[in-house]
Amino acid sequence: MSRTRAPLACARRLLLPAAIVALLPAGSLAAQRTVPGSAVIIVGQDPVTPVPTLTRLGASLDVSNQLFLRLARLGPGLRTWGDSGFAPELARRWSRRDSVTLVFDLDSRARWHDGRPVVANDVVTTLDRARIPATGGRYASLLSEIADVRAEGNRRVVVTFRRRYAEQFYDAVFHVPPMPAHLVAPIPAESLAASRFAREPVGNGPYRWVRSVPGQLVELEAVRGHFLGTAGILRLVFRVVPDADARLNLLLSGDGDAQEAVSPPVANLERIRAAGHLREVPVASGMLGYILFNHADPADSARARPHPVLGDVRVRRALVRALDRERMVRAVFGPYAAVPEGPTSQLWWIRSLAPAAAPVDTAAARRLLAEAGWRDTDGDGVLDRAGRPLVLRLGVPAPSAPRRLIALQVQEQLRPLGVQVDVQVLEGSVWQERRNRGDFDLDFGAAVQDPSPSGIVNSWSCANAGRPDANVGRYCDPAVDSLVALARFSSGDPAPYWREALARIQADAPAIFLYAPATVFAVSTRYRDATLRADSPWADLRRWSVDPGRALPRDRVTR
Amino acid sequence: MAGRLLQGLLTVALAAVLAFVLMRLAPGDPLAVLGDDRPLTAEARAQLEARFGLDRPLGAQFASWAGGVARGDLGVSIATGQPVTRLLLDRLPASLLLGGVVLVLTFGLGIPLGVLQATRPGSAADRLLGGLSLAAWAVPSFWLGLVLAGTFAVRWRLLPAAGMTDPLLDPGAPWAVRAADVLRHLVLPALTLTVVSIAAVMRYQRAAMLAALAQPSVLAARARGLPGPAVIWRHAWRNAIGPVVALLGLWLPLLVTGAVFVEYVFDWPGLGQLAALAVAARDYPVVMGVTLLVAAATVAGNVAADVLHAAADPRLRP
Repeated sequence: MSRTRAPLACARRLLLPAAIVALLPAGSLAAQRTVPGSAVIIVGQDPVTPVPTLTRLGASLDVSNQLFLRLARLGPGLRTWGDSGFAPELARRWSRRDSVTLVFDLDSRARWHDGRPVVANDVVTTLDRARIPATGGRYASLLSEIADVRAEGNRRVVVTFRRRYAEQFYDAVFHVPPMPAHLVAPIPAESLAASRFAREPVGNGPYRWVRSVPGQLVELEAVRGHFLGTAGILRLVFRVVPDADARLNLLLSGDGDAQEAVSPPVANLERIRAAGHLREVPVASGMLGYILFNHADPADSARARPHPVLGDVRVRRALVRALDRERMVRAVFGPYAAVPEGPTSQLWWIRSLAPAAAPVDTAAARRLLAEAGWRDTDGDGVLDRAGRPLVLRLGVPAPSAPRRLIALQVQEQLRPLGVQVDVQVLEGSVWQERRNRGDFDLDFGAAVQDPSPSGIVNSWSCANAGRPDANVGRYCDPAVDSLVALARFSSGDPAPYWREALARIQADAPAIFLYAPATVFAVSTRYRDATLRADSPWADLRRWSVDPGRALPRDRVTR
Repeated sequence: MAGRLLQGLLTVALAAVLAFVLMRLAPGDPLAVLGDDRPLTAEARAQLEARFGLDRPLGAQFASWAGGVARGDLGVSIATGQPVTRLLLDRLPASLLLGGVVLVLTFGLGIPLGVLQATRPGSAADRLLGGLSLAAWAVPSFWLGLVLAGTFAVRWRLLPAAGMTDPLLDPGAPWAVRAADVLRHLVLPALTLTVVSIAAVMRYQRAAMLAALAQPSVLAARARGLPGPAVIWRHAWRNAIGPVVALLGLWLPLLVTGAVFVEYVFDWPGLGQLAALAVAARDYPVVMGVTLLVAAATVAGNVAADVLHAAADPRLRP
C-alpha cells in the first residue's frame, strides 16, 4: 500500500508549492532570487581581541563592529558635537535632563547572541569598566568627563558628565559599545584579554561569532531575525594576510572579495582597475602623515635644551616652505590624499578651518635659513653655522611604504637648499622606541585620529610634551592649549577657536603636515549596496547583498 | 650515544642563552605593539611589565623562562596573550608539511639529476641542467614566489594565491576534499622553495659523483662487465652519498622553520612567518620558543645525518 501512496503524496507535496510559485507575480519571483551570500575580507592584522575596551583600531575593531552595536551610530557628516549627527542603534531614543545629564532608552528588541535581552546594566557595567584607568586602559582618558553612569530600570541608562561640553553625546555612545554584563562582570578586567569571552565574543550585532583560526581567519555568520534586519550576506570571513603583496594577489585572484587599505604605490590601484571585477572605494580616513620636528636636543639626556637646529622657528618654517608637498603626495597616493594645512585628517570637521599654507617658495626658504645664520661657508653644498653642518636625521618605520617613498622625496627636495637629510629606515619597534625616547631630529610619524578633533590634545599639547606615543616632539604653545580648551568646553560656536588654534599651530610649524589620505578599499563588483563608512568602514556590511547573477558557488553554502 | 645527547642538550641551551641575550640587547620595545593610537599610561605599562616579568633582572627572567621550559611551559606571547606552546603547535603542522614536501622534492629530484649530470659530464644535458640550476639558485625566493603567484593564481587562476586552506570550505567536508584543498594551496610555495633549493643538491651530488666515478673500484666494476646502472648506483653512488647526506642534515631544520619569505609571500601559516612577526614585534617568549625548536631540530638533523651516513658507508660504522 505504501508503495502506491508514496508517489501520490510526493506529487501533492510538489504540486502545491509549484502552484504557489506559478501564481506569484514576476516581481515577487525576482525578489526571491537572492543567495545566502558570502564575503571574504582581507585584512593585514590578526583580530586577536575583537572586544570593546580591548581594541580601538585595525582588524580587531572591524570584527568588533560586526559583533557589538553602539548606543547610537555616527552619521555620514561625522559631526561629533551635539546629537543631531547620530542615528539610533541600541538606544531607541534619548533625551537631555539638564546640561550635564543624558538619558538613553534601550531598544527592547535588542538581544545578545546567547538570547538574553540587552539591559541597562550592560551599558553601566561596560562604561564603568572603561572609565577606570586600571581596567579601561586608554579608554579611561577618553571617558574622563563622564562622572556617573546608572541604570533606571531595565531599559533606561542615565549618564552624568562633570561639565557641559559639545561632545558629551559622542563620548557616551562612540568609544565603547556595551558588552553583556552577565558574561563580562564575572571576569576580572586584567583577565578579559585571555578569557573565553575575548576568544569567542558574544555580542548583539548583526553578525555572531562562528570560529577563528589564530593568525589566519575569523568567521562570522548573520544573525537571522536580528532586530535591525537580517544581513544580506550570511557568511563573513576576515582573512588575515600580513604581507601586502600576498593580500593584493589574493584579491586579484578572486579568492578574496574586499580588501582594506590598498597600499601605495599607485601602481597597486592600477592593478585593481585593470582587474575588471573590482572597484576602488575611497573613504575618508583618520590617518595623518607628518614629519615631526624635535623641539628638544636629542643629545641632552634630560631633553631640557632646545634642539640646536630645529629649536629655531625660522628653520622649521624654511623646511616647510621648501617642500612641494602636493607633488610628493600625488606621486605616492594618486588622487586619494589631501595635503593638510594642519594636524587634521579627513575625519575632522575642523579641517576646513585651517588657513591655506603659504605656497612652495624655495627662495623664501633660503632667506629664512640665512636669517637664522645658516650659510654654506665651505662650499660643500651643505649649509653650516658655527662649524655645524645642517644635517638632520629622519627616522622612518620600514613597514610603512608611503613614508619610505615620501622620505626619499623629502631628502631630494631639501638637498638643493643645502639641507642634508639622512633617512634612517628602521624596523617598526626600533623606530617607535627611538621616537618615544626623543632620539631623532625629524621623525616621520602617522596618527590615526578619532572623528573628534579633541584628539589634538594628544599630540600637540604642552601637557603631553615628551610623553611616549603622544607629543614626542615636545611642541608646546600655551596659547594653542588655551584655544583648544575654549573650543572644547565653550558653550557657543567652537569654530572660531579651532580656526585660531590651527592658525597658531601653522605659524609655529611643529611639523611638516604631509598627507591626509583616504583609505582606498577594493571591493568586488558582484556586491549590491556595497557602501563603506568613514568612522567604521565595514559597519554597513549588513546592508550588502550579492548580485544573484554573479553569485559564486561559495555564496550558496550555509551552515 | 649519551655523549651525543649531552652535546645536543648543551648546544640547545647555548642557542637559547644566545637568543635571549641578543634579543634583549637589540633595540625595540615589546610593549609598543600593545599601544593603540593612545599612549599606554605609566600604570598600565607597569602592570604589563609585571605581568610578563619584564620588570625583573635579566638573570631572573632567564631563570624563570628556563624553569618554565623544564616544566613544558614556554610562557605567554606578549603580542597575543596566547600560550607560546599552543602557538607553536598550531603552526608546526603547516611547516612540517611544506618543509617535508620540499625536502622530498629537493632530494628526490636533485640526486638523480646530479647523478645524470655526472654520468654525462660536458654533455648538452649537463650544461643545460647546470645552467638552469645556477639560475634557480641565483633567484630570490620571494621574487620567484611573486612571479609564480602572479602567473598561476592571478593571471590564469589555476591555483590559490595564498593561504593553506580555503577559508570558506566547510570544516565538515569529506577528508579527501580537504586534503585536495591543502594540496592545491601547497603547489606554489613548494614549487618556489624546491626550485631555489634544488641547485645545491644537484651540484653537491654532481661533484661527489664525478669523484666517485673516477675511483679505481668503479673502474674495476666496469672492467668486470657490470651493467651501467649497477655500476652507477651500487658502486659509485654509495660512495658519493656522503656530502649529500651532510647537506640533508643541515636541511632538516627547514622542516620546522620553513622559509620566512616564501611563507610571507604565500601567507603560509608556518613557524617561519610566526618567527618573523615575533621578531618584528619583539615578542620575546615566542622568539625564544621558536629558537628552542630550531636548535633542537638542528641537533636532531645532525644526528640523523650521522646515522644515515653510517648506514650508507660501512667504513663509518663503529
